[in-house]
Amino acid sequence: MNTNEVDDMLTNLSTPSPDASGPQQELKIPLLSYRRSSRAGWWLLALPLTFITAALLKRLGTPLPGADAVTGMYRTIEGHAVLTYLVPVIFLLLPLASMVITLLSFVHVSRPAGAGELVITLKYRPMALLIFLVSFALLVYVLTPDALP
Amino acid sequence: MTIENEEALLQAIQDDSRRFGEVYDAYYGDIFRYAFRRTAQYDAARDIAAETFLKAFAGIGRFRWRGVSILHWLYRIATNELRRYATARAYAPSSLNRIMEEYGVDIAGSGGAEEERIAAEEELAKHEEYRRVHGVIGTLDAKYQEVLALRYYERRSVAEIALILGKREGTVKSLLSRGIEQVRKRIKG
Repeated sequence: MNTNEVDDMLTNLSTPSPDASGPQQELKIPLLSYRRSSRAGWWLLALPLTFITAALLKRLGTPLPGADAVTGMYRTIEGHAVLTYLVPVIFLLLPLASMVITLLSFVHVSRPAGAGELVITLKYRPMALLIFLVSFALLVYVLTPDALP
Repeated sequence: MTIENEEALLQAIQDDSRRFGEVYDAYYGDIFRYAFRRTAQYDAARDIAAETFLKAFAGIGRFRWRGVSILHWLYRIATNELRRYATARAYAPSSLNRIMEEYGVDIAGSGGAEEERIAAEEELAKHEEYRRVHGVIGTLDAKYQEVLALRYYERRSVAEIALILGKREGTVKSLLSRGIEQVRKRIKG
């Protein structure tokens, strides 16, 4: 057999074409959700962090451009008859939701059959851990008397 | 999917990462079958295809449009995974393991997976000539295996293989020529 014949043989080679729709569908949703929990945590923290950062910087005497608008917005919400109910949502529920989401993303609890014990695994996910700590710090700050601006 | 569609889709993915699902739907089969034809192992092909798409999803933000099809880029990632598979004593698809652990997904135990594995093995058994050739190609250096598999299993042109492997077309032609010669010697021997 010469090289041309080998080339012809390979060119006409019939190859297997198996179906893979099962694993394809199984993986699709987790694939597209990958990394989204961390992002969701940051979005939940964006509003309370903006308000608190603006207030803190103003108190420190180094307000950033636009800080007045942010604190003004907060005062409007706080002074409004209906919108005032948003304050606990912004400062308590959003950080709490962020904490829960990120906690679920790096803590894994399992109960091995017959072992009679719970195994708690902490996955090393620096970003999730950072969001969790920021959320926790925010809650501590908010729940400390006279902490709010 | 045409090149023009891919360019628009790539832009859409930068704005909304969920649009990556369209790439996944369009090309999962190609990548899975490529991995299957290279490894002749259903489980390995499934893991390599999954790892390829997880890495592609993680890196799609860095993918810049230069007229190279997304499919060629996926082939390149899959080829790198196949190199890892060939050299590692126990292939560990790290991204896949992480996502399976985090989301409790078990693609090995998914509905119909066992039937698909059996069907894939039956499909393999039907292609006796392929198994004989695959056995021979599998004994060659990785550089020959890659070009021969892309050319004869995947029916890719020399220009496409050059894009996928990041080599010059002349180099690919040379590797193909020498690879065919090695196959000839081994078949003869």
